[in-house]
Amino acid sequence: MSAVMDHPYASLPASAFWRTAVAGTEPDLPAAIHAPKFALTPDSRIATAGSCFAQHLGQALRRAGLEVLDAEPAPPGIAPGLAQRHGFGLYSGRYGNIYSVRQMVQLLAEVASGRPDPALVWTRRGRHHDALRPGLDPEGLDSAAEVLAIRRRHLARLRPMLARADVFVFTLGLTEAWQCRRSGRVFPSCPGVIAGRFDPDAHAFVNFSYPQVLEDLGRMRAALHGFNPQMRILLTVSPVPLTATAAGGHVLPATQYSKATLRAAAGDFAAAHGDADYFPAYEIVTNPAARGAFFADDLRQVTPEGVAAVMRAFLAAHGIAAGEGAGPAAEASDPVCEDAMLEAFQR
Amino acid sequence: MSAALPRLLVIGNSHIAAPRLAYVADSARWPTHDIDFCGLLSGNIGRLELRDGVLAPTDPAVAAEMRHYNMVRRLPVTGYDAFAIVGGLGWTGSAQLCADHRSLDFPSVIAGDAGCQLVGRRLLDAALRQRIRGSAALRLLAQLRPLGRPVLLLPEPMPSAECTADPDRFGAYVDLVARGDAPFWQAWFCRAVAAEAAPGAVPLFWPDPAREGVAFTRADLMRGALRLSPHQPEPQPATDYAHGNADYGALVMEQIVAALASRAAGAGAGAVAGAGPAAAQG
Repeated sequence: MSAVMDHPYASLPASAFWRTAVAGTEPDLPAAIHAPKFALTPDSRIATAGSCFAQHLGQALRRAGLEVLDAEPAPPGIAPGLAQRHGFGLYSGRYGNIYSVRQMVQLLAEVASGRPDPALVWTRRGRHHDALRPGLDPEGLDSAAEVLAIRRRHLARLRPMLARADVFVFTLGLTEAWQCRRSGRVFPSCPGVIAGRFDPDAHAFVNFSYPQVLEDLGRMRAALHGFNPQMRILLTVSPVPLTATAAGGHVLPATQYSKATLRAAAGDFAAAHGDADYFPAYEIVTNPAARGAFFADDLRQVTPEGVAAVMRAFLAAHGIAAGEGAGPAAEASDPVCEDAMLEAFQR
Repeated sequence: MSAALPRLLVIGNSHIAAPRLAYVADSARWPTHDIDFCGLLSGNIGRLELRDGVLAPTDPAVAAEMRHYNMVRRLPVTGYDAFAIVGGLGWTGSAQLCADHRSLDFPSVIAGDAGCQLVGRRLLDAALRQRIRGSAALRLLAQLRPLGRPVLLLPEPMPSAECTADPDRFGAYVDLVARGDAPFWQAWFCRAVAAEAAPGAVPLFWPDPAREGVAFTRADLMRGALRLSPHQPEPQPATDYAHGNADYGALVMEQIVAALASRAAGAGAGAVAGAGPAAAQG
């Protein structure tokens, strides 16, 4: 006579066990890895933002036929490379990469006010850059006044886009950032890397902790609901490691700290709010079963196959026909990442 | 004696129908050159390739078109002393670039237009230049340039003001004019064409007598335009506002010949650039 033990694990599905769900499963289509709290449909109007991995998501969602909003489309007929270098088509607006939740919160507040900070113009070789998207015009602009005029118009175009969005897909990228001591503004890149001048009296390093990230997520949700109270939030965490850490230690544990913090905050935030969800893109790409195959040779960028695995799982979970969205991009292009510029400074 | 005359090839898209008609009607009016014409539809002049001194189509469809319209399969070009590329620069279509994307110095923006996207001048310039480099005329120029002969670039005519009747095709252009940006954008376009044409090619912009205002061609120089046709004259439809007629073509011929005469007189490329009355607009 066999004794059948009665305990919680006895009735769990295969997806709950590592051997069946990970070690014994192909990494490009992990079954039942996500059960959406709310369904995306072909009619959903999606806004995207976040760190550079989010560029892959937005492009894949478009390829899948979903409506990804674009407040600032590129001029018609412009070559894709030129458009991408100038921030077109990467997200739902030309805001560039938004690596931290704090940066997103600050952008939403700026959109609500419509008033850019005139101090946030950086210069390089006589050209002028928007400090909050310094890589946007690689050659810079003619004057500080032009930077601010373009930014004002940018903010004005984001407002109606945000009001239309049903779902806001945000990819958390980094906990490390540099901020302005005076205003508290965080920058997408350290002053002096792309433009501007680093000044230790004016700029401070910050490494956001779990409570700070969680609090910022709450502020982000409140700000988004200020544009559209019905907007739902879908969070992901970028699997792309840090290019460099300024926290004083080795970049590997710094990366793990950052990702663990973001992952925990995103998960807890989604669990606490019915209109927020977390999708495990980070886990799919870093899945040990992939044996690193979803990372490119630099061990940072995600391969087209990795993005495709993420999108297959995402679309399957939402019951959306994969179409072209779940396949590798026909012309895979590296995402535009300001933090990658740091590699130029390594010794 | 005609054998001693310099040889000129006028090559282009459907817009060479106008100068060809003018020349066929009165070739004695331009006695200084032996002139041949070669035409292909739309952007197909950009799908010719120079191989061993011969312009050859790059695919079977263009080859068939080459035979149909020009009765040759390939065109030896080393014997020509000069070339004039007519059409294929895409001035009218360039209005789409600034339909919703403008820099601070656009007259409409200065006047308070708050609806467009504001972008940097360098982005717009890069986009415009990329568009011009990809135009059929510049692609053909890239093939001809190694020959080292003078090349003149002449844009297709500006549309007539009657094009407002076709907003689907000319909406962006009509809007460009209506909001007061046409002179500004046209000067920008001309500068960009001149920069991309150099070295070795000189643009000759629209003949002054053909202009109606800054951005349109006189309608009487467009009505009665004929299609590029190998045999029978075939009129453009009444709803065509983009092609010049034989009178317009005569003005183009005058521009070309005057520019080459200026060059032959030893004035050099700079003088060629100024030979057409409208060239200075660039």
